[in-house]
Amino acid sequence: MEMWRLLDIEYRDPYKNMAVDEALLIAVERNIAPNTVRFWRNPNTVVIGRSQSLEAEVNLEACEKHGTFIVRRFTGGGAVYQDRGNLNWTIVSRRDHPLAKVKGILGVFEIFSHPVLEGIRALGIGAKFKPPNSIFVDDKKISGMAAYVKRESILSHGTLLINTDLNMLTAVLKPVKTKVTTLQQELNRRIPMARIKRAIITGFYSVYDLKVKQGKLSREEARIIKRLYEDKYATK
Amino acid sequence: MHSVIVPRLDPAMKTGRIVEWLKRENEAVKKGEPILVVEGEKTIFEIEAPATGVLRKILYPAGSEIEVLTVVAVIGEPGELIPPDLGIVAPREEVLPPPLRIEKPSVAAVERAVKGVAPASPLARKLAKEYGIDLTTVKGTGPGGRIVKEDVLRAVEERRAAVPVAPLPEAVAPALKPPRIAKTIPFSGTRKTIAERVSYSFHTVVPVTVTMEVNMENLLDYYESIRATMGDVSLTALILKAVAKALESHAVFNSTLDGNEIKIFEDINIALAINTPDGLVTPVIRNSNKKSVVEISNAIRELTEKAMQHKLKLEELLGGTFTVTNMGPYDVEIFAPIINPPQSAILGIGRIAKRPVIINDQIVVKPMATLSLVFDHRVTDGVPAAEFLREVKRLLEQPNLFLSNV
Repeated sequence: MEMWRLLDIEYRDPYKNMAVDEALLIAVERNIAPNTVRFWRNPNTVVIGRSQSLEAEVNLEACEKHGTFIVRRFTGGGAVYQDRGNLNWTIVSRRDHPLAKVKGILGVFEIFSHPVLEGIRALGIGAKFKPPNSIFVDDKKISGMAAYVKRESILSHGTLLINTDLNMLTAVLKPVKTKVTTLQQELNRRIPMARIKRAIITGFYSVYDLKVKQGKLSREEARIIKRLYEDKYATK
Repeated sequence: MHSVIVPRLDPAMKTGRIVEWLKRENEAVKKGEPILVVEGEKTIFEIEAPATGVLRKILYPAGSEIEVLTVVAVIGEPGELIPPDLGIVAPREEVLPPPLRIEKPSVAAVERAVKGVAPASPLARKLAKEYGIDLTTVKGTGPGGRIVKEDVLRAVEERRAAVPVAPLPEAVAPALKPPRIAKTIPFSGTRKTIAERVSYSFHTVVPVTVTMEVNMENLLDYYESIRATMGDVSLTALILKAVAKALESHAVFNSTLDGNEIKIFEDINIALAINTPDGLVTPVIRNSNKKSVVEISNAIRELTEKAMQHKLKLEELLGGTFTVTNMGPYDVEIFAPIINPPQSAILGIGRIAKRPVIINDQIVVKPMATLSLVFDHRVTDGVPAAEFLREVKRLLEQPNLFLSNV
C-alpha cells in the first residue's frame, strides 16, 4: 500500500510554522521529501492570504491589544484567525500523483478535503465540501483551504475549527459575512485533539487507500526551513 | 520573441491576479524557471518562463487582474525589437472557441491614443462588452483613473435605474410567461462532475472519430464455449481484453498530453463507462492487458455492483488510461463518445446485429458490430488510429490470438 509521511510538528512561533509548510512544498518539488500530511497549530494568530491587504482584512488595534500575531502566508485565499483550538492540516503531494490530477488543479481542494470530511463525519457531524475551498456544517463554515502550485509539487493547507475562541475571531478580523462554527459547538462536548487527528488519518486510509505513517523532517528540510525563516518570515 | 501567457490551469479558472513578478524587466530568465506568481480561485500558481532569454517587457504589473490566456510579458534577446501589435500567441490546446474573446494588450494602448479613452482593466473591458457599456462614458476610479470592474458594474446599475420598466398589458402578459416548470433536478453530484468533465474535454481536446466494422462470429463462438466451461463471463470482458492487448502495440492511444509532452502510460488501465441511475461513471480496471478474461469479468461485475450502490471508492475511479464504452445493449450502432480527460482516446462499441456481408463474393449473414474510436488529434493522426482499430478488429475476429489463456 502507498505510504505518505505524517508530520505532527508545530511550533509556538507562527512564522516558523509557515516556514515549515513552504519548505515542505519546496522539498517535495525537489524530490527530497515524500508526499506528506502535516498537523499543526498556531498560538493566537491572524493568517492572511498572500495578496490580501492587511488594513482591509485585519483589525490592527484589536491585534495589538490582544497580542495577536499576524502572519502573511505564501498561499492564496482569505484571512483566518487561529489559536490552539484550531487544527491546521497540510497536504503536500507531487503534481503527477493521481490525486492531484483527478479533478484538475483547482479540484485539489475538493479531493484533499475528503479525509477531513471523513474524519468530521466519523466524529458524528454531517459536513459538506463547498466549492471552491471550504467545508461547511449546514450553513456554517468550519474549515477553509488555500493552495500553492509549483511545477512539480502542490500544497494545500486548511484550517479546522475545534474550539477556537470565536469572540477573538470576531474581534481581530474585519467583519465577515460567513457564519462559522466549531467541532465543539456542533458536538456540545470536548474532543481530544489526538482523536480528531486519528479520525482524519483514518480518512486517508478509507478514502484513498493510503497509509499515513509518522515521520520526521530531514536535515535538508530543516535547512530550507531555517533559510525561509531567516530570510522571509522573521524579517517583519 | 516568446510571449508569457497566464495559462488556463483549470476549466473553472477565468481570471487571475498577478501577485508578484519574480524577475524584473531586462533580467535574464531560463526556460522552466518561475518568473511570476498568479493567484486564481484561492490558489497561487507559479508561471514559468516558456523560453530562455531576457524578460524584455512586463505588460501587466503586480496587482493586475487579468483574464486567463492573456499575454503578460515578452521574453526575447537583448535588443530584439518588440512588435508593436503584440498579439495573443496562445498554445493550440488552449484556444477556445468563440465567443470568448481574448484581449490584446495593444488594443488598450491604441484606444487610449486615438480616442483618449481612459485605460481599463481587462476584466472591466470584458464586463463592459457583456453589458454593452460604452467605456468612453465610464469614469475610472482605479489607479491613474483606470476603469476597474466596480466602475463598470456601477454604470450597469445606473443604466438599470434609468430605464423605467413599463408594466405589461394584462392581455399580453400570459403569452410572455415562461414555460411552466414541472420539476427541478439539482445540478450537482455525479451530474455536475460529468458536466464539468465533458465541458473541459469539449473545450480542450480535438476529437476525431474513426469507425470500423467487425465480424463478431468467432468471438461469439468463443464466448459461448467459455461460458459453457467457465461460467458467467461477460462479452464486454472479452472485448476489453482485446482492446487492452491492442493498446500494447499501439501505445500512443494509451497516453496523455501534459503541457509540452505526450506521456505514454506504462500501465494499461481501461476505464469502463457504466450507466447508473445518477449518471455515468467510469471505474478503472487496472493492468487490463495483464489480467485474464475471468479476472476482468469479475472486476466488471464487482465495479458495476458498487457503482449501482454508490460504493465506488475514489481510487477505483482514478488512473484510467483509456476508456471503453459499450452502447451495444442499447441498440446503438455508431456513436462519437467524448474523450475522458486526461486520456487521449475512447472506444465505443456498437450493437452486434446480423447483417448481410460479402465474403468470397458470396452474400452471407454474419453478426457484425461497429467500433467507433475517438482520439485526440493533437496527440496522433488518422492513420495510426485506423491501424489501431484494425488491430482491435483482427483480435476480435481471431480471438485465439489473444485468448490462449483465459
